[in-house]
Amino acid sequence: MPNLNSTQGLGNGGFWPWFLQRVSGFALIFLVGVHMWMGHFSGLQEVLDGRREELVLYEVVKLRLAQTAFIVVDFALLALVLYHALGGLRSVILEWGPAASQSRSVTLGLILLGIVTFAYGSWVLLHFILA
Amino acid sequence: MLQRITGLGLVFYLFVHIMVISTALAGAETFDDVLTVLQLPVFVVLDLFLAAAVLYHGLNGLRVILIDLGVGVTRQAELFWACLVVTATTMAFVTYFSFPLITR
Repeated sequence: MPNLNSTQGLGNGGFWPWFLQRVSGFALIFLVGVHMWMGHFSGLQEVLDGRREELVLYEVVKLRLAQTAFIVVDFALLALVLYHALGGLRSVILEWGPAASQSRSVTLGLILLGIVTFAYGSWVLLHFILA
Repeated sequence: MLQRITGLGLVFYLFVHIMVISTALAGAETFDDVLTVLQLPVFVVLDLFLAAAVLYHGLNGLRVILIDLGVGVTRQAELFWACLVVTATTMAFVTYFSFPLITR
């Protein structure tokens, strides 16, 4: 059972949004860690030594996404980060008085935004995978 | 409050990030041109702020999960400061190692 004395409490969506926000957040610690490491640190020495021009290049991303593990990581990251980000945004919006009475509209709007953004992000990932 | 501020900043960054990566749809050359600009020193500095926000948000999120599980409920303030100290210390190292990218 959630600890209602916590800094966040159950928020404004009941048990499941509260639970899934924490599960997605926990998973994102690892997924964002891998994503940032690959984008910001992997290959850094090659750039500093002048053996590679830039850290992130089209061909580098394409080669990475030729590996199944990175395809899984990137699609999972896209889905979870959108769920977590828009869930968090929903909580912040609904804490604002005037929006609280529009809870259903806010939730539906954010779900729609999440679906559209996931579709767009998937299209970009597939572009790299199938190119 | 800091969790909400970093969270809102990261939501904004997420959509900018997806838009930037989507320049790949216009071709490899466009993508590389945009990414080359985004690896200029000024953007490396902005990346450091991004890394700090991600690190703090993640660590404080773990603190929230622990407290929800009933761990450290009476030591919330100490855990909050620990998140800040770990973030600041890690960022000091990351900034030090990023220096060649900022000054090149």
